[in-house]
Amino acid sequence: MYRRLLLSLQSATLRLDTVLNRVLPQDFNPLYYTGGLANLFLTILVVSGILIFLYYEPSLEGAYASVEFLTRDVPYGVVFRGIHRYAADAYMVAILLHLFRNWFTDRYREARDSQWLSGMFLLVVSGFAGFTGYLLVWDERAQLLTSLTAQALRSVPLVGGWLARVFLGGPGVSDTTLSRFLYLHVGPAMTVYVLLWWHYVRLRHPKIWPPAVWVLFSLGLLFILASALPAASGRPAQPGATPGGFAVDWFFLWPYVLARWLAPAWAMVLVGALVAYGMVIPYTLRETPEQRGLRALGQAVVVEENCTGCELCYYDCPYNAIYMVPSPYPGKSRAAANRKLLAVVVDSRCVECGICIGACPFEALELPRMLEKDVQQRIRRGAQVEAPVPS
Amino acid sequence: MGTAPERTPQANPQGPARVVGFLCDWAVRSEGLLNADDTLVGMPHVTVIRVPCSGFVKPAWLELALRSGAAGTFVCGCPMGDCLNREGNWIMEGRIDQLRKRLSRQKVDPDRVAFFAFGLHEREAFLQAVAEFVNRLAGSGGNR
Amino acid sequence: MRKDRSTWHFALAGFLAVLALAGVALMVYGEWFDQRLVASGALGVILVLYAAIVVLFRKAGLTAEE
Repeated sequence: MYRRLLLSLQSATLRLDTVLNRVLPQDFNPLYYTGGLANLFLTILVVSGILIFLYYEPSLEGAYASVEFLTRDVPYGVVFRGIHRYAADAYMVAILLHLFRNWFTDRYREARDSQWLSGMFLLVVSGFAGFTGYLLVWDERAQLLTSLTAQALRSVPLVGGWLARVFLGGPGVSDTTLSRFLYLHVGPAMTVYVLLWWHYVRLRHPKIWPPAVWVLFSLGLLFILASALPAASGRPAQPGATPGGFAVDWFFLWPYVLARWLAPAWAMVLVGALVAYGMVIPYTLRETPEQRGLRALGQAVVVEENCTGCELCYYDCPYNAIYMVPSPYPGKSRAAANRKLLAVVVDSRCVECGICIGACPFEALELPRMLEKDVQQRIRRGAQVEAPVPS
Repeated sequence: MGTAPERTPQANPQGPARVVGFLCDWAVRSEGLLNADDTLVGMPHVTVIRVPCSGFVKPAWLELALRSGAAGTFVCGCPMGDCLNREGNWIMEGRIDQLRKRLSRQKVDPDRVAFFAFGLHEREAFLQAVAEFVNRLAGSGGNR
Repeated sequence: MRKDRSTWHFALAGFLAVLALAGVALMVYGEWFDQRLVASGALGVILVLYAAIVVLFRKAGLTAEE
């Protein structure tokens, strides 16, 4: 049932691609660059964030006023604020598209779980940074979010009071709270880059940028949005006041929307459960490749006597699964006799795609269940068959 | 030349151009696409070998196909940018570009080697591209 | 048939380029008369138009893949 659902989602994802490819040239299809788009928006966020940071004052009195100063009196300040605001939304959209696309098209299984896990961490950390971004404005909404969060944290057994103190920077809201929020916004943003290293470490040539056309379009769209719908604060936060209604950005704040019906503690449990489920997704499907209708061809094997240490497979392997080590002994073939290096396949990273075999001109790599000599035989047979039987 | 690819060999005593192709498992859905002997349904002169990724194909195999008597050979990968293994089709496209240059230095018509990129649901477009490729080969007298 | 399409693509690209020029005028106007949201909005429009022009050039066959 779950498997059927995933299969139909995969089918739908690829059908959507087909539609887009009809309108756009194939390599401009934005859905092929969801990760690159996320990285583009992240970069825009960092640049615009630094500019905003120069004006921000993390104190109870100054926070709201400094944001208003940036919005009203700094030339184009409102535009930069708007870009930061809308780029955050776009970043989240891109991340979620990236997540669902790779989920539905099976690009997280087996050897690729490392990317999936780091991606889940990136999602959580990015979402948290987005949430603390709302607090920094210190308007009514920020105040309500702060008290809801502190309440939820306090309800955690044993360490609740301590967690709330860590979050608020003291027993209650004070100047320290705002500087703590500023750190909780900027800190995770930096953590994102550490996690991105993990996200990329097993990839050769990760696609970290979208095509130029999408850079132009995304920047343009952000400028248009920031100008047409300028970002604005709510009413300033006032100690003791109960905030009235305001628009909630469910995108980042959906746990708080849930809190309308759920006790904050349960909302936290729900978020925790979702994240935990996300982390185990690559390990939930216990099907063998055969059950998934795939041919398990086995992981690439180096034919040591033929390897010349030319590094071609090492450069082409998309998952950095091939390492070149100093050759422990000379090869047998004439080309391999004087090799300096030997290719080694890291089994835990190999996805059995066979790209290294295509790269190797020396017959030094094989997929165990699709041997080169068999392929050659099929080629000869296909090329030579006499008058074909009419169908 | 210019005839429909479904023509039977009787229409042409020599038969249409013989072609060996490689098809990525993740590109065009292959259920019902191939006969038991690996030939394309409706195009018995086209043999298709399914591979785990278009990047699995060695350029030497394409040369082998041409040397063994095929009029042409092609590789079909996923749409550019959508390779399951991230860059198999880009790598393959690059290898084919190099192979074409090598072939033209050897006075072999480089257009006998083709690269296609079609997704799971693009069977019709794939079959049409193969048919056009076969026709082009027949037109250029590639059936040596 | 291909030729016809590409002429049409070029014509559309040219039209968008003229629109983008109008956007430049709008940017100057916005900056001059202190209508900064107009200026930044016009910048956004120009960028989006350029993106469209890049696609059109590609479809017309002026630029190749990578």
